[in-house]
Amino acid sequence: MANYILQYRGTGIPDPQQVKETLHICGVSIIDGSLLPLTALLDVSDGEVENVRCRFEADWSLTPEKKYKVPDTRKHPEE
Amino acid sequence: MAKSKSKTGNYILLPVTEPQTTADTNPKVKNFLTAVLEPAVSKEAVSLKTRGPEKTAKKIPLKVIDSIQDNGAKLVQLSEEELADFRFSYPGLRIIREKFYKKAQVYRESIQQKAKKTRTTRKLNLSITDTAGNPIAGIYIVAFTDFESRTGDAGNTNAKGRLSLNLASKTIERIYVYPEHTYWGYYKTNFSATSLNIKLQKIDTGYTDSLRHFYNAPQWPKITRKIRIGIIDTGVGPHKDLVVSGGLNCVANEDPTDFKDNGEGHGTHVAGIISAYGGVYGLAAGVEVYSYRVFPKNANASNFYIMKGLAQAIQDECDIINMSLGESETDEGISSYIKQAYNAGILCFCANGNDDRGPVSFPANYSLSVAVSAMGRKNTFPKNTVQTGIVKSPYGTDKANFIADFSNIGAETDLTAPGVGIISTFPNDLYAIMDGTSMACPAAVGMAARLLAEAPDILALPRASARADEMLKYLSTKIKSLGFGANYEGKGMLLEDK
Repeated sequence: MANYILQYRGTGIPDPQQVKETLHICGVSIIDGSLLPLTALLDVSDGEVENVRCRFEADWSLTPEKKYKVPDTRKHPEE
Repeated sequence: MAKSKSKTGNYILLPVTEPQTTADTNPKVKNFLTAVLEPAVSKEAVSLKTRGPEKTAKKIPLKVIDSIQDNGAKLVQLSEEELADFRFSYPGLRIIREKFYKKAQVYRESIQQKAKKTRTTRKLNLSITDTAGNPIAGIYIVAFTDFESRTGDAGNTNAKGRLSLNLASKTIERIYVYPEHTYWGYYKTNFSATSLNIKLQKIDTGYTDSLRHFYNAPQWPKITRKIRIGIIDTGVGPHKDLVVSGGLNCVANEDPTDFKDNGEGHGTHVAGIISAYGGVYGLAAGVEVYSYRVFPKNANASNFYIMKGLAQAIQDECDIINMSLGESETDEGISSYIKQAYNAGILCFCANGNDDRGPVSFPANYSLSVAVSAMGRKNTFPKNTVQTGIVKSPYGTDKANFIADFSNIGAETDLTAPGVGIISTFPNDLYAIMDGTSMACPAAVGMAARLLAEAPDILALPRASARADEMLKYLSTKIKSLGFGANYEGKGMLLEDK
C-alpha cells in the first residue's frame, strides 16, 4: 500500500458523492478528504493503481505522494 | 554588465489559466498575446517597454518564433538577463522555458559508485562551552578531513559539552559547529589537532546582521493596514515577539488547531523575519501572520499537506504566501494550487533552494512563483562563525555584498534578499541564527508586504489574477539591482524609496 493524490484537472466541480462511490468501488480508503471533491489523499495498493486511473479517466490525475525536507544549509559527511 | 551580449533562451508564453485566452483572461494579457505578439510571428521582432518610472523605462527586445493559435501560446526568444525584468513587466503570463525530452534510456556508465568508507585512525576530542566556560549540550558538529569527498564525521555534544569524532587523519580541512539557537556557530579550516576547546558567542539581538544592514527594521513603525501573510512551514511560535492570527495544521493525524512550531524552529525563524516585534524586529511587524504547518516533527512534508496549506491560505484570503521549501522535481498538484492562489490575487514567494549553486528548485522555478535567491554581506557576522565559509563570488557593485555559496541560481530567479547569518525568533522565546534561501524568502515577503501597505488601491482590487498582476507590477518599481547579474539576483532586491 502507498499514498496517492487524486486530483481533478477538468473544469467545473465534480460530484463529491460520485467521487466517493467510485473510490469505494475500487476498494480505496481516503486518508484525508478535506480537499474533496477536487483533491484527496488515498491509500492505494500497488495492484489497484491502474484500476483507479481507469475508473477516473482523463480529467483526473493519480500521482504518488511526495515528501519535502525542511531546508538546511548545514554540511554533512558522506554516510 | 553588458546585457546586450548575454545569452538568449527560448520561452513559451501562456495565459495564467488556460492554453488560450478566455473570457476570464486579463484583457491586458489577451491584448498582449493577440495584438502585440501575434502580428510579430510573421515579422522579425518586437521591443517591449519595461514597467517602471517613465524616465527609467527601457525596451526589452523579444523575438517571436512561433505561435499556437492567435490567442494561444507564443514561443519567444529573449535575453536571459532581461527575463526577470520581463516577468515583472508582464505579469499574468506563464513563462515556461522551452524543454527538450530524451528517450527514456538508462545510461549505466553514468551511475556513480559510492566511495568506500575510509578507515578511521584518529580521534578528535571536542569541548564546547559558552564564553564563561559553561558546557553546552546538543551542539551538532561536523569535521571533514577531505571536504570535496565529504569524508569526515559528525555528532552532537553530550551533557558535559563533549564530543569525540573518528577521523581519517589529524589534519582537519574544515570544522563546522552548528548550535540550534542562542549562540553563533563556529568555523575553522586547515589545522591539525587531536583536541579542541571552542567557546561559542551568545547572540546579541541588537547586532546588525545582513538583514538589518539593508533594512533598518528596528526603526520602522508597525504596519497598520490589513495585510495577511501565510507561512507554509514547520508551524510558528510560541514566541513573545510574534502574534499568530490563525492557520491550520495540515498534517494528517495531528490536531488541526495546533499550528505552533513542531519544535524544529524553521517556521518560527521565517515568521520572525517577517513580523517579529520586541526582542528582534521583522520587516513587516503589524501584518497578520497565518501559520500552515505541513512538516510533522522530524519528518518530511507531504506534497498533499502543502496543497492543503495553499488551499487554506486561499480560503483565508492571504495576500502573500511564503514557501521556504523545495525539491528538484516539479509537482503539478502544487503548481495547480499556486496558480489558483494567483487567480485569487495572492502572490507566492518561494525559496530558490540550498543546493550549492544548483538549479532553482520547485516550486520557486514555477512560472507564477516569485523565486528568491540568498545574498550576504561581509562584516555582518562575527569572525570564525559558520557564515565566513559562505562567502563566495559573485560580488555585487558594492564588493562587500556576495551571493551565498549555498544559494541555487538560474534564469527563474526573480529577486535576491539577505539570507546569511540572520538573527530571528526560535520557539519558546529563544533566538537563533539561520542561513538559507529559506531566510531570504521571508525577507523579500516582509519587504513586499511593507511596500504594498503603501498601495491601498492595489490591495482593494477584487481578488482575481489582475490583483496579483498589479501587486507584481507595483513591486517591480521598488527593485534595485545590486550588480550580481540576473542569473543570481533576478531583477535585484526590494528596497524602500529613499
